[in-house]
Amino acid sequence: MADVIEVNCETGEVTTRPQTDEEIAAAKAAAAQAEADAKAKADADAAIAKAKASAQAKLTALGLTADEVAALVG
Amino acid sequence: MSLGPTLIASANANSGSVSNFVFSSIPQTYTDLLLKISVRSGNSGSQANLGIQLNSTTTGYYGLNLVTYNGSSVQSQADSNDTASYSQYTSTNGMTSGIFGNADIYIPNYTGSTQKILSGDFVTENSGTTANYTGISSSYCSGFTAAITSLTILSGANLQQYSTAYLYGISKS
Repeated sequence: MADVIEVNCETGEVTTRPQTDEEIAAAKAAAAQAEADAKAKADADAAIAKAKASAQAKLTALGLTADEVAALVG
Repeated sequence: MSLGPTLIASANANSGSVSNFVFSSIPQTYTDLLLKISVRSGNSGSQANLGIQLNSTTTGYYGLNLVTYNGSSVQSQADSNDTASYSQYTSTNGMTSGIFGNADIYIPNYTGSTQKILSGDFVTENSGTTANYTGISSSYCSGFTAAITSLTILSGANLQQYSTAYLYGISKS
């Protein structure tokens, strides 16, 4: 990981310093959280797409036109 | 004193990527704080978590909620006991080159002794080539009652070159 840019708001001093152990641990946790969130979102997107396709097929089977299905399901 | 927003400090990664931005020794003379952030994460995913830590605290960020729209569906998420307030998303290196995610985060009553709340909105720009996330967020930092003297901005990977963050103070009187 790269360095930290720290700005002292009282003095305006800008310091570039190495990460502390706590910051390294937080960065690792952030990376793991990001990976988990990305997977959860991908799974959710896939589930929604599957449900949408199923709904469209069922509506079409009921006799709705493509425009009517699109108006309902998008 | 101007009621604000008054620029307190800014940080940038104009010389190259960095791991975090830290605003330290935040003056205790304002009522609220406002962060305006434009960053790109080194993460390669479709979005990266944009995190805020109060006083370098790495535990106890409970009750985080967000509502996002990715161009096709609305989603929500609630986290608990995270190591930072990860209520915003930002753009990543997996997206169009040179594109940054943008977020505004409002922190009311930062000098008070009550538990802290962060609210915000964000968008992960991507030039329309793939799903962009647009969202609103709030974070409830349960148990965090200390006055905020420092803010750390991080993502799941390095903040890429030309990432920027601005910290403003807002006074009510």
